[in-house]
Amino acid sequence: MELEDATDRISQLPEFIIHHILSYLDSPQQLVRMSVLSKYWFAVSVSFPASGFNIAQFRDVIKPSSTPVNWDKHYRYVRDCFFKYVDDTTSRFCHQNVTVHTFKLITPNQDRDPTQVDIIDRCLGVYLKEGVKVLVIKVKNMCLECLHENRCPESLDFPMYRVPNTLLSTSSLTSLKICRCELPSSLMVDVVKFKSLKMLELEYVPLHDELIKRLTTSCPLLEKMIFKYCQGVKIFCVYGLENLQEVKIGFDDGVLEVIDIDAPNLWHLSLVAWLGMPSMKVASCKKLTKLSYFGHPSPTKEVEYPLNLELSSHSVRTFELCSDLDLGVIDFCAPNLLLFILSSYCQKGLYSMKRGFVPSKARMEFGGFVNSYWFQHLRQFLDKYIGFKELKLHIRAHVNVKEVMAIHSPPYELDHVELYIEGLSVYEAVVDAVFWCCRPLSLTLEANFTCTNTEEWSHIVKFTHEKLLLQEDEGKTNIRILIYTSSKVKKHFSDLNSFLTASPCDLQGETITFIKEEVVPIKKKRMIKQSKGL
Amino acid sequence: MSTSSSSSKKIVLKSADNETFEIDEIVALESQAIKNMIEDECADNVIPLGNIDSKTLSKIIEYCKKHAESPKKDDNADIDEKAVEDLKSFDAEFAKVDMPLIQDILMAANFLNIDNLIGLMCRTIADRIKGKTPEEIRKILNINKNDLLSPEQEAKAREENSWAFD
Repeated sequence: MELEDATDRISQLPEFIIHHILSYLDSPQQLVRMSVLSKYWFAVSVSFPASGFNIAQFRDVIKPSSTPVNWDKHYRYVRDCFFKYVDDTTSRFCHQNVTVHTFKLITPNQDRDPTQVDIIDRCLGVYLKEGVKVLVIKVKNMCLECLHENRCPESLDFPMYRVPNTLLSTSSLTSLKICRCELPSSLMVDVVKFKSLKMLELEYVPLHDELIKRLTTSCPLLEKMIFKYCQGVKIFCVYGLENLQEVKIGFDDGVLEVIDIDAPNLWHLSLVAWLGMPSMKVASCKKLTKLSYFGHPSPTKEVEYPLNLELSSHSVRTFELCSDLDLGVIDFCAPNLLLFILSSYCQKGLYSMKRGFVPSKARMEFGGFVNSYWFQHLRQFLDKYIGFKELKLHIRAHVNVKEVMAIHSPPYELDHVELYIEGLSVYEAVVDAVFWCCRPLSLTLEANFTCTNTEEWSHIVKFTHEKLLLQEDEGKTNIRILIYTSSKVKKHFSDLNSFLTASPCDLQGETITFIKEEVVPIKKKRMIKQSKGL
Repeated sequence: MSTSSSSSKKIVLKSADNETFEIDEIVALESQAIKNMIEDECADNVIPLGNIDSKTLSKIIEYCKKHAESPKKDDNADIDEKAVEDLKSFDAEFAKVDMPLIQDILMAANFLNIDNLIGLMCRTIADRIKGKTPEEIRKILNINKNDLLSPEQEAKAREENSWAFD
């Protein structure tokens, strides 16, 4: 190809600017291509320290050469290319000081091949010198058949890669993520210098109680801790981390018994425990406002221990619980709770929580499947925790109203109820059951029935209206109706009649809200107005 | 902004082809190099920029004006997203120029030490190179044929990482 003789100004620029350009390319394929452009680019690419190595960038780029494809051979070739590239790049820098801000190593498991382990060790040795702030070391458990991540048991047989001890003296780190590796062997004995570490995330990392203690006491500035799919911890104990704000704990071996955290600034604790049910000692976390608990009982494992979820905290405002636990065994002392979200595990996905929303009045939200017994437990639950003012139910139901009527307590007084019912056929039964359990001042119904035609719709409205009125003394209550259309337009109707006489296209909406109001004689109304004026 | 410009201090920049540009000091301060000159009081009324032509310089002034007007991130943590979006789309439009001009702007931005602009130009160049073959990139960057690797060197480099050239 003929190249014009125009000036190539880029090669007059300082090296750091060229490195800046290369940093945006971020793919080994592109970097290799840049290196053959010219003498200048060859030199400048060779001196460019990569910000990481990722096997996926090789897997996605390298296409099988022959047809029919010998996949086994192809994927071995891809891995070989990866390790060779890491080796070449690392060798260029092994006698220099490499300073990178972020380094991400995503490598396949080393397949019991000691030379590959050596390459990874050397690579980390070069990059883990003073200066790196964000570090990710991730071993992908890759299936040799397809090189995509898998969890097939055979591949788990490989010995885990152990991160070299040099990690412990990398004091510049602010963020560290390790996945499917063993922690350095000298962690328990050597001086650990994570003096600036703010974020620690471990995934599929074998742990034990002492390691957790050792790690957390070595990171005085830690703000966020995440443990996912980890194993081996019985007592998760964290003390004295002044800056700790968020903790996510996910252990999947059922060994965890106690979570004991004392961190004055912790505001969110999230726990995933599908097996077992650890007890939580968090009362001394004065700023803990949000608690998330996912798990238990496991849908597959037989339950062997008493089921009781106990929690005591005066600071918690939001408690989200994703579990198939029966409402009857949930026991918490959280007097400042404003939002309790319960969703059943089996129906997970049915109800998604609004993140970061805290209501002004105590509110309970539930998503999942309900039956008659569930309503009985709900009624008892509402009595146990005085103070819920609002209730939202997003449910799939199978209800026998007669069984619900076995409840003898009077309906629980609520300000507001929101209903989203899957399936039109159970609608009347659910409304009956809900009104047997509680007596709301207003009710919002989400019109999700796809099959709704105008006739069915006005039937639902009339039915709900009638049931709401039945809860009140005759003649003393009027019900206003408020419709939110799909285009977020609000429409008011002063009573049922004005609603029913409106044009049918006005009736369809996303939500319909019934608001009870006292029927005030005109004379009294005037008096109220006057007294307000004063 | 026109209201404040009448009262604020002016700086005059002179391009290589002797064109002068009068700008507000605040706009000039986007350039770390000019800022240093002003702080060290070694800036006369007219700052000559002997290696920047008027076409490039007027582009750079356009960029600095816009960025000087926009609220800075560190001033206020919760600056409105609209301003950020506005600046983003300005940058995207700004970068829609031919490669020789991008290279000129990058050289000048480096000389004047305007960090954001260096970043923007580097990203623009990277975006245009992405996914291209070496032959295509040579054309985009105007690489002189006298600067190429020797055929043997190039063949060796390609051979070592043959997977990257398929």
